[in-house]
Order: sequence, then structure tokens, then C-alpha cells
Amino acid sequence: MNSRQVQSLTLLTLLVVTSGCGYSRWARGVGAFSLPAPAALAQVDSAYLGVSTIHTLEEESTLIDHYSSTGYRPGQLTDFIKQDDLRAREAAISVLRDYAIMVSDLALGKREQELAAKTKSLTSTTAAGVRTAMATTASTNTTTNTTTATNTTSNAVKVNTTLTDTTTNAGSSTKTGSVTSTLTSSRNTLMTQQQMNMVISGMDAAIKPFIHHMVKKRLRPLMKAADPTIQQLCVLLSEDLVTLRSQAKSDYLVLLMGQSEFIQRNMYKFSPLELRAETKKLYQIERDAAKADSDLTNASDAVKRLAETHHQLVTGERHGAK
Amino acid sequence: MEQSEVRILVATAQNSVAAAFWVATDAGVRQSLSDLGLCLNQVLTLLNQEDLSSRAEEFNCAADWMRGSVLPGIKKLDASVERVTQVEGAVKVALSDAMKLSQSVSFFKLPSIV
Repeated sequence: MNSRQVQSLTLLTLLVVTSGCGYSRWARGVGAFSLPAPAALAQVDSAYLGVSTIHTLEEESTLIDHYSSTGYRPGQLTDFIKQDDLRAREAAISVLRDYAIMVSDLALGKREQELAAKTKSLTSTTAAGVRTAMATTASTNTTTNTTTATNTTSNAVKVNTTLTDTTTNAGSSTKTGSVTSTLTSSRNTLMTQQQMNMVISGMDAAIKPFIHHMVKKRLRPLMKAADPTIQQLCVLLSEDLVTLRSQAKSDYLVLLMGQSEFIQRNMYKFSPLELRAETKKLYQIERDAAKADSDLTNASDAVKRLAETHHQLVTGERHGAK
Repeated sequence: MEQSEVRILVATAQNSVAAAFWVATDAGVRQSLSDLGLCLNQVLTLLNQEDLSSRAEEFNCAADWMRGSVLPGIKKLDASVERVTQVEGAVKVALSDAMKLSQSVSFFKLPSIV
């Protein structure tokens, strides 16, 4: 190898290593957006259902409290969120989730993982097949050569050494020399398991930078184009969460006041155990209210983080996004 | 007055009502405050429902755009990565087959060599 070839090889190695590092940093940035996204969006999804359920409880409780004056009429309970409005949110959440999963699969190498699994299974199947072939050959031989034993125990499966055993079995001293030379030359042309593994590893190393380049080059503009819509959707979800939080707070307050009123009105009609059970509900409502408020705040924070991380990723503000 | 300002006003009034409710001892006063709290809740619910329905169109538009423009682009890229990996997989299988074949050929060639 001359000095120019050495220089070219060094340059190529540096290029591959550098682009590999850049890709890893970018992929980590994508992961910071896409990996927490499904959980964050699930929180938002359940917030709509949670607040609707609390509102129905509040309506039901109020109707029960006013039963003596208003009586019962079917259809008094209403949905807090209309079905069409809810469907619009579900569609937006689902599209954001799909986007995050697809981006994550591509940038974080789901394909590579599948490929590695395929290679592993392929290699082990081949090795098992070759071992079976060797075992079959060995069982037909009456004489055992020490070379065969050595090769059977090692994973570097050199089937051609078995051929040497077979020639020994022929027992002809005059033919052994020529056959050995033929086999020696054929030994060089046969591929060992070790060699095949090396070729496969080489292919992996050669194809990965190509896939990384293709993904980064084509995915980044798509993510950049998607960013304004991602921001818009996250703002809409955040505003919804503000609305949901105020509704939940108010509904729990009415539930709490209603329950307190109910206890005050009937305090002397309750048995001690009933009074205890009804009073306990006040604290339960208070705990539920605090938990709902905390969940809604967390969901809101998660959506804000999602929007920020995505924006930083496409504008290059996030470390390694460039 | 904007809707958000009305919402803040209602929420503040509700907090004041609740504060008065928890310190009131007279049953009649408590009942009135509870009713007032309920009324404010109904006003707030109406405002919130209006808020949620007024944004449905924006949600739909944004989701449609993502579904129509961004996701197909990513799917297309995903398909080309898949094709590359398939080609690589096929080469690997061919390599494995070639290895098996070279071994088999050696086994069966032996008698003719001898």
C-alpha cells in the first residue's frame, strides 16, 4: 500500500467516524423528542376523559341534591365535550403520536435492530447447519483424526479439514500426496464461518453510514416543515389543558361544597358510622382534586417540553442537532 | 371583555364564594353560597365548552396537514430504508448459501478427486 492509499484510507476512516458521531448526537436529539412523546400524549388523551368524568359526577351529584325540588327527568346529564370536538382532539393526538413513533423508528435505528437480529439468526442457523454436516461426515468415518477433533470443538468451522480425514480413510499412501495438495488449494477457496462473519460485519459497517446519511438528509427537512404544525398543535393542546384544569377545579369545588352541605343538613340523622363514612368522602374529594390538578399540570408541562424539544431540534438550538 | 378575562373573573368569584362558604355557620347562608357556587360553575362550564368547540376546526386542519403532507414523506423514507436493508439481507442470505454450497461441493467432489 503506497502513501497516497494510506492517506485516502485514513481520510475515509475519519469521515465515516466523524459522520457517525454527528449522526449519534442528532439521533439522541430526535430521541429526546420522540421517546417521551407517546407517554405525554397519553396523559393529554386521558385528561379529556378524566375531566369529562369529573364533570358528569358533578352534574349527577347536583341533580341528586336538587331531586326534591326538580324531580327526575331523563336526559339531564350532558357531555362536557361534544363528540365531534373530542374526535378532533383524538385525531390530533393520534397524528402526533404516529409522527413521533415514525421519526423515532427511523432515526434511532429500528431497522438496524431488525437487521442485527436477522444477521444473528442467520449466522447461528448456518453454524448449526455446518455442525450437523460435520457430525454426519464424522460418523461415517472409522478413523478419527486429531485435526477433526480440534476443528469440531472450535467455532471456526473448516469443513475442508474433514476432507483430510476422508483421504486418510482411503488408505492409499501413493495417492495421499496429490490429494493433500489438491485439498490444500481447495482449503484456501472455502469460506469459514469466521470469514463469513467478517464479511457480514463489513457489510454492516459499510451500509450503516449510508442509511444514516439518507435518514438525516431526508428526515430533517420533513421535521422542519412539520415544526410549525407541531407547535400549533401543542399550543392548542396546552390551551385545552388550561380549560380542563379550570373546569376540574370548579367541578371538584362544587362536589366538595355539595357534600359538605349534605352532611350539615343530615348530621343528626346519620348513625356514627354513616357520619364517619360521609365525612371521609370530603377528604377523598379533596385528595382527588389535588391529584387531578397535579396530573393536568404534568400533562401541560409535558406538552410544552415536547414543543420546545422539537423546535430546538429543527432549529439546531439543541446540542448536536446540526 | 375577552373570554379568557371572563373566565378569570368567574374563577376568582368562585374562590371568594368557596372561602365564604367554609367559614359560614348559618345554614341559610351556606345554602345560598353553595347555590351561587353552582351557578358560577355552570357559567364557567359554558365558557369552557365554547372554548373547546371553537378550536375543533384548528385541530382538524393541523391534523389533516400532518396526515396529508408529513407522514407520507416519512413513510416513503421508511420504505427506502427498508429496501436498502432488504437488499443487504438478501446479500447475506446469498453469502450463507454460497458458504453451504462450497462445503457440500467439497464433500461430493471428493470421490472424483480420489
